[in-house]
Amino acid sequence: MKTFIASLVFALLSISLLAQSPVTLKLNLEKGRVYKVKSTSKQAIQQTANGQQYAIDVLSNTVFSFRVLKQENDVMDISFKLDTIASKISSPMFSRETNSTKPGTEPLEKIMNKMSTYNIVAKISTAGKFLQFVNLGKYTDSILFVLDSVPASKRDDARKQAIALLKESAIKSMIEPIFSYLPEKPVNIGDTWETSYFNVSATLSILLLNTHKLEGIENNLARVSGTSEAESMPSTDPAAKMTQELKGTSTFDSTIDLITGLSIRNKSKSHFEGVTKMMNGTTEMVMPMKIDGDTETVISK
Amino acid sequence: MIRKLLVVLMCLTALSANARQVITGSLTDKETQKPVENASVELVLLPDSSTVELANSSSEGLFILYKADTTRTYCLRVKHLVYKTLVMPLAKKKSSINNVGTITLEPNTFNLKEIVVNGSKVTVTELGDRTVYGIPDGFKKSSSDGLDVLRKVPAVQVDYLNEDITVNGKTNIRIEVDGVTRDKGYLKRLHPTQISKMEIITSPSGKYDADVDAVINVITNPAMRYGLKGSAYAGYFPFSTRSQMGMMNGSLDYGFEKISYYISANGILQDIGINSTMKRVAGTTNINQHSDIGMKVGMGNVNVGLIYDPDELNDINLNIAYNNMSNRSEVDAWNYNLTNNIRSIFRNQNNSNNKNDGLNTSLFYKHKFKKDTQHGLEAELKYYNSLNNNTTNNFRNVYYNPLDTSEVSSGPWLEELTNTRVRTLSGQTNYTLPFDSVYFFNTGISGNYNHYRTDNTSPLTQAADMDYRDLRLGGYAELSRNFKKGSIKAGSRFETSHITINSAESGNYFSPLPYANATWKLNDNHNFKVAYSRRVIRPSSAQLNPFVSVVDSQTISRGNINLKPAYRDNFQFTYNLKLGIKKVTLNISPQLFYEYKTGLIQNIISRNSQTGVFENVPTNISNGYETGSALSVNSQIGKVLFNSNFRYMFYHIDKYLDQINATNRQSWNWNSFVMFPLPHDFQFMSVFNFSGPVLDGQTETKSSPFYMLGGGKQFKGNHTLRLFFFNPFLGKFFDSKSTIRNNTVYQQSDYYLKSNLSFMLMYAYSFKLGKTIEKEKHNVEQQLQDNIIKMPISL
Repeated sequence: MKTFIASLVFALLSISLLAQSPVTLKLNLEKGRVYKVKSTSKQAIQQTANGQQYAIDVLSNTVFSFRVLKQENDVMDISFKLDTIASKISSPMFSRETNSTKPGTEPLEKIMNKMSTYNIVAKISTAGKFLQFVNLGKYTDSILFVLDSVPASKRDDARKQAIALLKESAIKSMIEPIFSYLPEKPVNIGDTWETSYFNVSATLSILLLNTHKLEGIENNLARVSGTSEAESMPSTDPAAKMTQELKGTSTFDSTIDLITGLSIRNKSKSHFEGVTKMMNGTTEMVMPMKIDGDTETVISK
Repeated sequence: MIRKLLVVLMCLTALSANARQVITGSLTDKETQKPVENASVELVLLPDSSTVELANSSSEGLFILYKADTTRTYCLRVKHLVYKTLVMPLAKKKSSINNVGTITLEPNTFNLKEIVVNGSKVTVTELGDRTVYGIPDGFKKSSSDGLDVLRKVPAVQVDYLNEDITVNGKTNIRIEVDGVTRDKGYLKRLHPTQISKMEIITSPSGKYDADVDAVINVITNPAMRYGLKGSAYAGYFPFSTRSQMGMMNGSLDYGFEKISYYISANGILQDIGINSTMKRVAGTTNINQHSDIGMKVGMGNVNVGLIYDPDELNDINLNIAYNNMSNRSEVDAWNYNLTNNIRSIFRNQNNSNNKNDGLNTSLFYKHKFKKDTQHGLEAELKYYNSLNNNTTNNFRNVYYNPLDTSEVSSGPWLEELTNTRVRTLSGQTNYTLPFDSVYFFNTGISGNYNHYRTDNTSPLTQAADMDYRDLRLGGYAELSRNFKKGSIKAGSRFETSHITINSAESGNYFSPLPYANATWKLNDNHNFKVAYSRRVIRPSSAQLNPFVSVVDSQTISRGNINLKPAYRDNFQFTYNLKLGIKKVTLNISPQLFYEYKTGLIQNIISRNSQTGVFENVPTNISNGYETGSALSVNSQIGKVLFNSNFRYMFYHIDKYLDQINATNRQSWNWNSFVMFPLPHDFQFMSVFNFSGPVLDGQTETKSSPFYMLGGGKQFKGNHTLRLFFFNPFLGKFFDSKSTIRNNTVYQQSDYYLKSNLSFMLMYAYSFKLGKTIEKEKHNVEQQLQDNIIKMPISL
């Protein structure tokens, strides 16, 4: 009896110790396997111009696929393909729909289509850190060939758009958030950790400071909640005709697969407030804006 | 209990103040304005200089560092193989994003071939108004302080006896450290490793007072600012059993992230025996004089101050300097006269005490309107007040029988007194406006008020006092333009001076002083420079002081209250050639120059027809010019550093009344420096200074050569011992022979120190205390390594 009780106590202690042992969240991806990232985002934008309010709805769907080409120590070469970048903008003044899977007629559509055609390879650490691109020059050069098919009258503008879309920071900010949620050290339930990255588009750079909390672990799945504080960076381009200044927060819940380290599902709600500034000659027009967004991202094998 | 609560509250406050921060910015090439990719950007925590995070710049030149903390102070260190390493402090910000904006990197303009071929750290860069000398590690290791480093720069001479600085033979030199006016004492406080570059400005712009002959601007290494540093040295310098000299220097400074404090003191003690001979022939009078002069000299300097950089846009410097100089001389001069075939012997004994000290306070403020441009404003205010400035001169003559040299009679001891009070207040403000990134407009105003009050007392002559007041107002405006292959600058300074001497207006002067310079860079190895400037030579207060001073039984000297400023128009044409062949790097700069002088101030000796006494008076004589050529070599041959500056001058002075005939003279000087490392941390060093005759009015002076050779050893723990031998094969030291010729007098005199075996033994020690300093030391060493990697740097 004594032996049984002692064994029971030891077993309980072991279980509780196991429960308390920190978990290491690292990427452990299968070489050659294709993973799909699907992201759906709805944004309701309220903009005020000349005292009048306008509502703009933006719906975007993005599908990426990626696969590990090779791994040396803790660094992987991952090939990304931006399968679909689709967006639909609805406003009282105009509606526009773009889809990169279609060849398109406008220069921007052609560029987006080419972006969906080629693969870009980046070095990513197993801790989820973006290190560098491997073939950025080749990738952008391949896409820029499409400008030959753009009429000469539109080519200069198209080149500017292409360069803005294909700049390293813009492409990096499409890839970096996919893995930028992992802690640097092993974590226990209840622990928090911080991550940050920049989200760069043609006219706006937003810094996201994220705080993650490990809520629980169940069936090899980690539940993580968190908040993000986001703030736009002041524009450094003195010639920019349009700049945006935004600040806001978001909350998110995500599920991390402990085997692969991937965030297989992430749901977030965000609220931003700020202004859009437009230069018209020497006069500046300031338009206040509010953005409420819902985003869901799913990664599947 | 309340105390505990307070502690907890303070901790909570501290915790809440701490927040993460992202630092970002972009790097661009200074010349092409294109983004710089793959530069390593280090986030360095201050003051311990530890690296917090390292990032590479992207193809857009962007870098992002995520691990900063709003409560801490950092600097960024940006490194790239083809750019100069940049260390910049970061202004503290409370926001989560600290966007430092665009950082421009200055390329090392060399190609890969040069990297392979050259291995030198010797750099010389010709800019419009200045020559910039990079200070190689070898110079630093063989120097005891900043002034000693300056000795190794071509075109600069620093006298080993009095530490007088001359540039190309000119004496009115302004010293700046990082653009702030300083004195020699401040230079001596700088540890050699703090010095990065030396700029020698031989054609000063309108920013500087019109009588400044040249400017030396020492550029320090900003990385050396942090932490506690100190250095000290002591040297002993015997010339003979009669003459010796000792020197000591100590400095201490402590730098925080925004402010650094310093204190330094140095002193020189001299006990010197000077021998002098003089032979004068004037009509039927011949004099042979043999003098024995014993001099005891003490010089001291204390500098205290602070440098405050609240942020990257503002810079404040406060400095208080105390300078002291005292000397006591005992002259015993035997005079053997022959007048109309009658012999006489008399002995002149003269004991003189001279003391002067003063306090110089200066405040400098610099503001940049934008960190990435040169748009800025600087202001400087200086006040000098002499504390104790007097000379006492006791003298008498003793007469002897020329047959048996027995004493016949002796005159009473007489006393001359001079007491001078000096007060000067000066201020200057400069404004720089860049536009279109190629044009720069500079303007500034300055004001100087000088007041000299000299009380003279003499038992022999009516001793006139002098009350000299001088109010000078000046201003300048200049425009410069940078081209891809050079630059051009033109401007003018305007000065108006109002001088009052003994309540009488002596003169009001208005002087337009134009200047211009241009550089043209043919390629990285060939550079041409042409410069013109008009400068003023103002009479000194000693030259103006009408006090009559007895030189010897037949000669008096006095100042000239009626002296007017002289002007000189200087033209320079310089070609700079850089050569790199295997392990040899040569920077060769031949120069042609021409200087026209109007109303030269020179000493004239004439015989007073009434008293028969010779009078030595500074006078505005006629005009003249100086022309010639110079060759400056700055080189590294393997491990040997060799600098040389040879200057050939041709002087012409127009005829002046019946005192000076139209005169043509040739002269030259050659200064050189050689240094190379020896095994076991020994170093060999040698200095040669040879000068030709110098003409001042009727006086031609020839100085003996100065040469020095020796070496040093650096021991572990920053201890250094140096031993140098001076003029080892000459019996005379600092020998100066003067000849005066005019239609009434021929005089030849010779002053020298007897030298048996002159050597200097010096011990130097520098220290850096504490953990902070150890890391700082690493930081500096790292920078030195960086320089090695990037060599050769063509600025």
